[in-house]
Amino acid sequence: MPHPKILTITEETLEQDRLLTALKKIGYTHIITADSANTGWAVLKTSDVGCVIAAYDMSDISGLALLKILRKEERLGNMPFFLADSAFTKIKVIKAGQAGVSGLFVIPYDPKALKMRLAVALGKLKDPVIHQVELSVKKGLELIEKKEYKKALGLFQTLVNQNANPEYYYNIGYIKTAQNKYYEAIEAFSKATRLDRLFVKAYKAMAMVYRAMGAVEKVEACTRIAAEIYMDTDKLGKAEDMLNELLASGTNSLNVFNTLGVLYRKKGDIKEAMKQYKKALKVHPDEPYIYYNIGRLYLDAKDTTKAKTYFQVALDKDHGFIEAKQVIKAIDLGMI
Amino acid sequence: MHNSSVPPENTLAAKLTRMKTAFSNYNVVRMREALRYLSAPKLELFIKIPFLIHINHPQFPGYVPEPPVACGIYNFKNSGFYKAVRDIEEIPWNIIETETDIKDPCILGFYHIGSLGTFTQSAQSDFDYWVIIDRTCFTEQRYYNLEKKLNHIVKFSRENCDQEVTFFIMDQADIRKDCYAGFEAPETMIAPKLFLKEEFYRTFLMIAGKIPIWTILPANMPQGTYDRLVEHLFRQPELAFLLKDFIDLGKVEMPSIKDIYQGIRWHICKSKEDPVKALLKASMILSHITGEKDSAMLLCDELKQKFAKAGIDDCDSDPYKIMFDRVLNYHKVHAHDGLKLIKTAIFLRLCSYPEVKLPEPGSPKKQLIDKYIRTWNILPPHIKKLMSYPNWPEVGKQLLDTTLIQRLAGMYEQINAKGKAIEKDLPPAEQRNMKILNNKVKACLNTESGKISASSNFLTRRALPLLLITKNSMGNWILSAALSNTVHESVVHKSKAFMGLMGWIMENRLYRRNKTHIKLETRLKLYESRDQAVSTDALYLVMQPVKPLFDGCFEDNARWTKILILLVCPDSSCGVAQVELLALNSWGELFLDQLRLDTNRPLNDRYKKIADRINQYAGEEIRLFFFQMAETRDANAVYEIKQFLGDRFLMYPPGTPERNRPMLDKL
Repeated sequence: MPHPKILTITEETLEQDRLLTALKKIGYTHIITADSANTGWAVLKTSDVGCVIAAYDMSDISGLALLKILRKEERLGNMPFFLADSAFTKIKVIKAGQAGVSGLFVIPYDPKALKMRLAVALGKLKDPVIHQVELSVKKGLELIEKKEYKKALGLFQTLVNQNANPEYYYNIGYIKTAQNKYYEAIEAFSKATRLDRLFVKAYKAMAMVYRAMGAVEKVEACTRIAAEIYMDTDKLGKAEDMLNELLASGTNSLNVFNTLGVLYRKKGDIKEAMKQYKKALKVHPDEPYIYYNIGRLYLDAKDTTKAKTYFQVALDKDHGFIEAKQVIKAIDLGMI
Repeated sequence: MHNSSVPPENTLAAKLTRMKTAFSNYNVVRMREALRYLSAPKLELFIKIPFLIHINHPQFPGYVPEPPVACGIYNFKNSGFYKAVRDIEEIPWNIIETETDIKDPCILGFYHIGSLGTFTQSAQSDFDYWVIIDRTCFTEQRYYNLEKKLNHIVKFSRENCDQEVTFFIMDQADIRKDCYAGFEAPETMIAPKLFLKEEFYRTFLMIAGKIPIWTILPANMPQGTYDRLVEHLFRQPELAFLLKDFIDLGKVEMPSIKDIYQGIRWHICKSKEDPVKALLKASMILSHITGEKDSAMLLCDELKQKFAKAGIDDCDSDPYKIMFDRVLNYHKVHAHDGLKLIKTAIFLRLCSYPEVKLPEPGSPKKQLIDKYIRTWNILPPHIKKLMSYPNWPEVGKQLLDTTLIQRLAGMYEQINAKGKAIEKDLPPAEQRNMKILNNKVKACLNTESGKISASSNFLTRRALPLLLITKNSMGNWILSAALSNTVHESVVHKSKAFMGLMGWIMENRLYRRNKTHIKLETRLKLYESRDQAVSTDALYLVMQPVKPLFDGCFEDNARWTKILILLVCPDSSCGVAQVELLALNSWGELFLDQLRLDTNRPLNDRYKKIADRINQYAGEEIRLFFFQMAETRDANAVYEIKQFLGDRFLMYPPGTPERNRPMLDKL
């Protein structure tokens, strides 16, 4: 797929050539050039441009002035816009920042800086339709903030009818929570998580609703799922915070201790992992999974003998424990 | 009933006693040969093992405290091993005297099977035992305790004597009818049953317990007479006293096409472990296809005829010597093209392939090899070349292995059409076993592109102290290995991808977690789910076990089970530039896949591309493991990629029941 077109605007032919060469070198070939802000503005109105690089100073309309005009336009307001200059002064930088510049390029161009900033900027490009919808969402959120729930709900319902988006359901859930309509809130959050199974925020919100309802077990289940999603997507710090939050709320759950054990194993903190597993065993001394997990911990520590002892205990507690049987065999065969 | 007209030396009892004496003579000869070549610690272990099985005492390995007790070998106190164990000083006399009277011994017969006491015995020879039980005397718990006891002994042997020991527990009734099912489990036996029993009768060493009645029956009985004769013998009251120490483990008769077809395929599957051994055994099996007089008798029967004459250093009654003769003869007459290769295989087998070295001077093995060198007219340069095998470059060793396996594949082709035709009419259970075997063969012979290849058998068997991974100026990854602590590393493998090398290490089990050090020389670091760098051990561990632990998985087509995804970021300012995927399927095959990414594209596009590639791996329950090779870890990469992945890759795919149990940190 080709990258979106880049519009370069400068009066200086030599600078224009240098910029073109630099862009081509880093792989950008769809480039439109303009020798003045006026020509550039005409191109922006008629062509599908994804990003602008303009000289800060130009004789007719400056790059800074063009940026200000563009930011006021609804269709072009979010377009990445870069300003280039050979000698940026402090005041120039401040003015550019106030006008909403996406970034500054110092002439001569550094290809590395060009590459990185353009990659980021072009990655943030949005479809106009999406942009429109986002404006609606923004409006909806503002309504929520103003506690105008009825209007906000109407807006999100309309969006949901157009397109089933987990964020909309989340916002509906949020409104329902604020209106103390807990069952409807749970329903909305559930829909959000069904559409996006990694939607941690929705699980967290669901936990809050269950807390308000006094359903302690459900609070724990939702928080644990949220933590496990974080773990599954390698965001261990966030998972740890969530589980510790649960612990702080006074839970004495085998599952929380166990999940924390797994988390610390992944973090490479064997001592802390073992501490959590021991807590889990105090709650349920006969749970084979905990013994298996301790065995797994010892595998990381390369202590195969101890690992096997724990896998064997797991198997003794449940003779049909296939995973334990397999890992013992793998150890016996010298695979691990 | 005793017939008074028959002279006493011609009575059935007298004949059977003579046969028993002949077998005892043979067994003593084999045992002496076995003991002669065992090192002192291994000899002590060999003597101890039956004792450890016989007793159940907390002071000795193999102790299982939980009831019911599962120990004891029938008639152990009358065996030579009981007498020998009394000479081991560390075993207290009172224990030997008082703890060895087991009222209800659970093992009827205990035999060693394999190369011990034959020409092919080497320092690497495993101790493989057949443990015969009567399943009707076992509850599930008692069987579990027996398995546990034997596992303890396996562990003890490995840790204290560096000796691999395997126990095959079998039910007497099952083995009689060639059924090798596990306890209360469906039979998944793909080994050629007939040849398994033939090999057992040909190579077994009587350790303790009851003697197989096959040993005292005439050799080469006509088809269908064995069962009737055994039944008749056990019905004779005058033989009751003699036969109480015998056990019927069933007949072994001439192989059918089905047996031969199965045997060849079985040895293709075994060829990865030892291609030389596999080729010799497969050739022996194929020799039966000719139906000629020379191959009309099973080798175990041929050997039985020599029981009485067996003597120390006697080539002719060696179970492997008669096999060598059989395969040589087959190749001379029927497969002359393969004669040179089979001679090489015999030579290497006698020189303890893959650690090729000449046998000890004066040993029977050396005498036999000298005889072969003379009769085959092997020239000194050729001998020198073969003897320098351990110093061959890795590719040369791989080529020899490949040639041996190709010959096996050729044998398979030779019999494939006939074999397939017969398979259709097999009962369902047998058809299932054949499907498993077919799929195993398919996996063994599969060389499709992307599949991680095999190393030489020589390299696989080495315990390597160091593996060095470097990247050369051409961008290729190089794996070097030091074959011992004193030898410098030499290049053993190259790949365009880092995961190509790691996959090769995994496929060929070159890395032993507590014995091998992998040194990775690169400016980039490896990351998993935390910001601290991890070692290559983490990569290795998540993919284990690579090879299937049970044959059941071959009943179905191969499906993807694990994918290791390495995101490579050579320049931290550009983000991920390349992805290497190492995919494992349920048949234990590893495949390498690579994807180069346009760093000019936004990161999100690249994450999507990665997810698209992962999504191409069809199947349910595929487990993904993400790693990064970079200067610093991209903390959002996994989350972003997972956003684009299909539901089947999620932690809780649709339809997952609500979980109440704790999270299992599954390997």
